[in-house]
Amino acid sequence: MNTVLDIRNVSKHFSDFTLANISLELKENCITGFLGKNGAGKTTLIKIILGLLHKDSGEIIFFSNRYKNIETIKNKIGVVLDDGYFYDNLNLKQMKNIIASTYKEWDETTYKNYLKKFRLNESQLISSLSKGMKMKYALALALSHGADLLIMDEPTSGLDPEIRKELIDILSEYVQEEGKSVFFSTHITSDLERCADEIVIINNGKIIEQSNKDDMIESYRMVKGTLDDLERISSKSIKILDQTKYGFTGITSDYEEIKQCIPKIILEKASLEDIFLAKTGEIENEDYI
Amino acid sequence: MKTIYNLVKKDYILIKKSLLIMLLFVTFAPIFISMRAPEFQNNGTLLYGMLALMITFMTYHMISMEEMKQKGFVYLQITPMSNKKIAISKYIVVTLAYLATTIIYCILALLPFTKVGGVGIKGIMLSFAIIELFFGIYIPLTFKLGYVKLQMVSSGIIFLSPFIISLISKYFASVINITSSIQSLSDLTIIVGIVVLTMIVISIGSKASSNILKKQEY
Amino acid sequence: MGRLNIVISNTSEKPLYEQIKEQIKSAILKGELKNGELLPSIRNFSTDLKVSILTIRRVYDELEEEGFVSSQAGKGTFVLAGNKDLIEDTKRMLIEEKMIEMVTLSKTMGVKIQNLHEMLDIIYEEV
Repeated sequence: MNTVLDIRNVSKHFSDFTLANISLELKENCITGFLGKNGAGKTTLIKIILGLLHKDSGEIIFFSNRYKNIETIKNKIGVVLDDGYFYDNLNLKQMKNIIASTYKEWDETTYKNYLKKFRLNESQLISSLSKGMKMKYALALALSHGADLLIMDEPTSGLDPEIRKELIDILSEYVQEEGKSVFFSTHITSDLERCADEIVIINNGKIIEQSNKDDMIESYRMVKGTLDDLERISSKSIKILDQTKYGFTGITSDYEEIKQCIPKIILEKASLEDIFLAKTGEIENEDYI
Repeated sequence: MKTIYNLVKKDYILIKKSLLIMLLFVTFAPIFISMRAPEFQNNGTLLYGMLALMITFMTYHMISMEEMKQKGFVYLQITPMSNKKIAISKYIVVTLAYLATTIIYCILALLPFTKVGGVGIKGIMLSFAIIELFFGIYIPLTFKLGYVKLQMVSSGIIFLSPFIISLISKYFASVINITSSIQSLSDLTIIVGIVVLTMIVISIGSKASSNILKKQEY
Repeated sequence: MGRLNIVISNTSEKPLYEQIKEQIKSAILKGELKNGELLPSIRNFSTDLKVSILTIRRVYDELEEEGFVSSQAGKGTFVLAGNKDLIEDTKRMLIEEKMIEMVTLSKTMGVKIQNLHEMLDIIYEEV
């Protein structure tokens, strides 16, 4: 599988936040979910990828260096940003005209089809669009110039489930075509559970995990048991999600050893959300997990 | 070209609401001032020059303010659009505001009942040169400082304007003296000279803007 | 294309790639997938099954290593059911695995081979 985006040891320091030594690889035809809590550094990294912020150090390689200049690369990237970043006083058509004229392979038919599909009216002012409509408009712009890599920052945040499902269907369809890839950040795990191939988790400005979504989910189990059980297995790596006087619920990757230790313990399949919470939650036992 | 056209159009759409008021101002201010201050009735060069500078400055400022409030500029940065085109579009926006002011003023001056003093081609070209020179520096400065800091700079300029205007009028007077003393220079020479000068200023200004924008963060 | 049923269990202890791989393999062994048949594209298959494309890639890679499929660049992945020996071997191996379990259990409980034969005859008729 070709690499569409290769980020190596990228760092960026701010007075109150540091993005430290970020390395990650996006594979072709994959939907890569970029998971992190608010303030974990998702938007910062995406802005660095897009050149809106400048990295202090490190290297970013687009499309395995297939294209020579940054302009060609920008022609091959579609972007949906959380804030939209449009001119609110313009109508959809006026904004589109500016953007369309900058892309070499602008495809008006594709754009019109998306507008129709999203039931967007070109003469509407951007300021009058709802959040969901703005996202759809941004998506229409991003998908109408032959982009091979779609980068989206929190496209689903604040949207109702129906629109989120619609977006996910479009993304799944988009990557069916050879050579198309998606990178999207979110803090909503259920979006990724449905469509992502690869998951990258960022926390406090550091990448803490990158792997195949299925492998990630399979390498953890949800453990449930009594407090006595917990005492007996407390030496194992386990991250407690919930503990009451009746029992506990936790996430572990050491489930085989735990099973050996207490055969009757309940081990269930963990959801991405459980794993995400366990990996990024308040750290009680840092050595664990 | 299409990109620049769209960018210029965008700038004027951003200040659509204020355009009519500005138009009314450009039309009635010279008439009003000329009636109140008869010294402008014979020679309108100074009045015209100040009006042109003021209108271009206001237009540019209102656009910059909208640019700051609406974040569309960031989107432009993720498209393959070159920063040079963005800068050139700003010079065109300013020049268009200048042209509109000039045309309206000249029409007013031609109408006898307005009492608006006329302005010669040399006066027009001189104002043009001053405005383009001013924005040659001011546009890159906007990109460098951003609107908020620029506001401080421009309030400084407004604060200093009485002094600057007296300087300019002196300068104007001396320039008029010079021009009268070098009557041998044809209008054409002056026009060509100033157009070439402006072209140089704009190309340096947009190159500088482009370099500044490359280093900006959003 | 022959009928290919894939049912993924969320409660199974078996990893996804193994579940999918076994079901494709069994479709090949049962002859439901014929020799030379084109398998779905990795991307399409993974989207339909709602699993990662990387999981399907792994399935196809392992099936190719084991000789059940062959992938050709730009064309896709094809079923290789022409290799009779491999198919027979695999069938035997799968059954042997279960038999070893059965015999081990029988021995620990002291069940004689004759009894085992009789039981097998009855069950074979019934199932």
